[in-house]
Formats: sequence, C-alpha cells, structure tokens
Amino acid sequence: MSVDGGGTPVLRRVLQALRDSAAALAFAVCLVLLWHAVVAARLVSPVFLPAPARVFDELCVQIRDASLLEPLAATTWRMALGWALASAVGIALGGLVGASRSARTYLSPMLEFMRPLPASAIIPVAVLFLGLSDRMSIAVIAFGSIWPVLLATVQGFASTEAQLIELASALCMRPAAVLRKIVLPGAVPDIMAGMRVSLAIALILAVVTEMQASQIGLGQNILLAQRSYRSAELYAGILVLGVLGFVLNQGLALVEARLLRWRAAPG
Amino acid sequence: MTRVQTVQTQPAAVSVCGVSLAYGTGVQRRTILAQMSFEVAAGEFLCLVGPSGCGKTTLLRVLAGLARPDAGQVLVDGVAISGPSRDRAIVFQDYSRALLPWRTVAGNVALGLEGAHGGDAARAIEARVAELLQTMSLAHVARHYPRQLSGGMQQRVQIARCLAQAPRLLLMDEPFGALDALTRQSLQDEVARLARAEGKTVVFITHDLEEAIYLGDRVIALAANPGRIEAEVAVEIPRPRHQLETREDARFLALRHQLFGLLAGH
Ligand SMILES: Nc1ncnc2c1ncn2[C@@H]1O[C@H](COP(=O)(O)OP(=O)(O)O)[C@@H](O)[C@H]1O
Ligand SMILES: [Mg+2]
Repeated sequence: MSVDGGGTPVLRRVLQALRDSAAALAFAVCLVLLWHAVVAARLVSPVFLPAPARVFDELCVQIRDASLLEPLAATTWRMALGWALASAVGIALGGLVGASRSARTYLSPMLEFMRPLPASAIIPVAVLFLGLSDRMSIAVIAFGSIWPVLLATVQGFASTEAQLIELASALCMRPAAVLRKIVLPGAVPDIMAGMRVSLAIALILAVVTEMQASQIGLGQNILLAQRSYRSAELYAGILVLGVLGFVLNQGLALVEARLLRWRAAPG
Repeated sequence: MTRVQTVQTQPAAVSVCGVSLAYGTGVQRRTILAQMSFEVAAGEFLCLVGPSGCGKTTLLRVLAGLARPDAGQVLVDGVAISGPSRDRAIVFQDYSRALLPWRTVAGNVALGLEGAHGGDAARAIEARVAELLQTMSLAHVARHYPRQLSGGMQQRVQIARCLAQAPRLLLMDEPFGALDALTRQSLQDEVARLARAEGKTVVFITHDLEEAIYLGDRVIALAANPGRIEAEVAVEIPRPRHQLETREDARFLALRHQLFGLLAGH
C-alpha cells in the first residue's frame, strides 16, 4: 500500500531494468557476431549478405551525407499520418459501434466484411482514385491499419463496468460526461493495445505502398538497392526500418505507461 | 462566486407505498418485491435485514430511482420520485467495482461534487474534497489509486463520495458485508456518528441481524419469495452505542432473539 516506501524498491526496479537491457544488448551483439562469422567463413556470398561492418559503414555514410534523412522522413511522415487517421476514425467509429446497439446492427456486418480484405488488394483502387500520390499511400495505410484499433475500441466500449454506469445514473451524469469520465477512460487500455498493433501494420503498409508507387522512402531505397545488387545499402535500409519500428513502439509504450499509470501503481 | 454546499439541509422523509416489482417474462416471471409499504422518518436510521436473494438490492435501487416499480411509488417528502436524484446517494455493495480505478482517491471523491456546480467550482471542489478526506480518515491516501487500498479503505472512499453529493438520503447496500470484523466495527461506528452529525436519513441494508440492531433506530426484517416485510421492530437503545456494551445490553439481546426466531423460524 505504500508508494512512499523509500528508495529501495525504486533502486531495485532501476537495477532490474538495467540488467534486462544488458541482457537484450548482449543477445543482439551475439547475433551480429554470428552474422560476421557466417560471412567471414564464406558460407554465404557477400552479394547476398555483406559483412555487418560494411552495412554499418554504409549507414554511417548515409547519415553523414544526410541522404538517409529524406527517405526516413518521408516514410515516417506517411506512416504517422495514415496511423493517426486510422486511430481517429477507428476510435470514433469503434466507440459508436461499441456504445450503441443500433449502430452495431447497421455497421457490424459491413465491418466484418471489410476487415479481412488485404490492404494490398485495395492499392489498385486507391491508385485509381488518388493516383500515385502521398494521399493514396496514406489512404491505404489508414484503411489497412484501422482494424485493430477499431475492434479494440468496440471491445473497450462494450465492456464498460455495468456498476459504473449505474453509478453514473445515480449521480445524474449527462451522457457526454458518462462518455468522458467513465466509458472512455475504461476503454483506454484496449484502445492503446489496438493502436500498438495498428502502428506495426501502418509501418508495413508505408513500405509496401512506396515500393508499389515508387515514392521516396525507405521501402523504395530497399527495392532499388536490391535491383542493383547494392547489398550493403539493402541491409542498411532494413536495419533503419527495424530501428524506426522499435523506437516508435517504445515511444508508444511510454505514452501508454503514462496514461495507464493507475494500473501499474505499486499495490 | 460558486460555493460548495456545506449548509445543513433537512434530512428527507421517505414513504414506500405498495411497491411491487417483477423480473422476467412469461413463465420466467418472478415477483421480487410484493406490495411493500413502509415509512422512513426524517433523520431516521432504518436497517433492512433479510436473507440473500430476498430483494434487498432491488428495493434499494427502487429507492434510488435506478429501478422503476411495476406498481406503487416512492415519495420523498411527499413527492413521488421519477428517477435518480443527487439528493439520494447510494453506497454500492461491491466497492471494488463502484470506484473509478483510473482516478485517485481524491478524484473519486470529487466525482460526487462534479456537475453540481458551474463555472469556477474547481477550487471549491478541492477544498470540499480535502474536508471529506479528513472526515473519512483518507487524507494520507488522497493520491493513491483504489486498487492500492484495502477493502475497508475503498468502502470509505465510496462513503466519502456519497457524502460529497450532500444527499439528504443515504442508501447503503450491505456496505460492510465483505470486510473483516474489526474493520466492520470501526466503520459501523463511523457511519452511525456521521449520520447523526450530518443529519442524514439512512436506509441501511444488511444480512447481519446484529449489525442491523446495532445501527438502526428501527429494523425491518424481510422475507423472500416474494420479497415482503416480515416484521418491524424499534430499537430503543440510546446513542452513542458501543461495540461491547450495546451488544451485551438486555434490550439488544431480546431483539436479537425475537428477530432471529422470525428470520430463521419457520
Ligand atoms: N435485473 C434483474 N433481472 C432479473 N432478475 C433479477 C435482476 N436483479 C435481481 N434479480 C433477481 O431478484 C432477486 C433479488 O435480487 P436482489 O435484490 O439482488 O436480492 P438481495 O440483494 O436481497 O440478495 C434475485 O433472485 C435475483 O436473481
Ligand atoms: Mg444484494
């Protein structure tokens, strides 16, 4: 019950976190060493798999001459816009479907029909309407990544604690206040979980759409590098995508921890 | 300037007139409350005791305006109620599901004040919350979240939130049923003291006969299937009461015998 339990538990938590990071780092280093050994032993041709040092050099060059910046910014920007759109529409629509039985009757079957459609299948339609533009990419990213956040929001809204709804009526709360003070905060854990899955899908689709539409971006860089057998560049691109996904996910995890600190509060 | 209501208002007087309520349809239809009538005087502490499933919670929801009876009505100060009112606060049985887990203790208590005041009420709310936390001995956990608290403390938070509403009628649904004996006793004394000090009419539900006699000015015993009034006794034991002496008092024991026979009897 004590939050003010002194520095010991905090210190222990920090030490534990450090130990965990060290373990994860050690594993990553082992993988790179293994990669190096495979290349050094000539088990795979360097045309397909260059040494990690060469990939690292390539990355350094791209960072130094700033040629990494434009594709990185372009991919991140499209992904972020598509994901933001998916989240906004997904939460609004999911809230409507989750909170209202009649909305569920009208919308659910159509949503169930559209959900399994592979987002890549609608790229041609999007190109038809929007051309090979950023708007096309953003639309496809939004369409493909909306489902996890939408379904999670439906779930979150529909599972509001009945006792709290009763409490709201006892307090004569207005519908808007019930939504803001009870239903929405109760759905936040589900919504955040959905947004994290959506984020991963948004990144995938950002790469896929720019490969298909030849737009500047990390995905296109990778495709071009592959076509001209510049393998160091190819792997550097993949590495950057990995780091991007990791950083975004960690950032979202931080936001989530902040929003849900009531759940993590020490017992 | 907005002021949070701290003025003492007159406690409410309640009349329950021929209230009936059934759940289900067709062959499933079951009468839960059958033609129930009783009065609660202004400022009275009325205890309702009855076996589990006899309709105690349903009756309390009717009093709160959360459930509508099929027949009969509830009058508060002579006026028929048509729904919930901030004038009637309810302490739910299951405290673990009746607090907002994402709000601190102070935030949960503030919920009882929000919406009742317009404009620059924030500061007034803060002051009143601090006062209530003090009253309920919760000041030291003001910034804790409900799940960090024991059951007894959580129930204190619910009571504080109800007091924040400044209700004239306090409805309590087996509030201490899940607590350990010591915690239960100290909360009993606290609620008895508060009800008197703040001048509330209280309808207190319990399945614990001794608790009903200890707390009540009057005890109504309910029978099940369908829920109806079985007996009604006045408790003529002066206040303040004491956990040891009162429970050993001859009048206490006599009432216990009388009601025990009625409830467990047939
Ligand atoms: N919403 C409901 N729908 C159908 N039956 C209900 C409902 N609420 C309560 N009941 C039934 O009414 C009876 C009385 O319930 P309740 O008032 O909770 O009793 P108590 O609080 O005395 O234990 C129980 O048999 C219960 O199953
Ligand atoms: Mg009950």
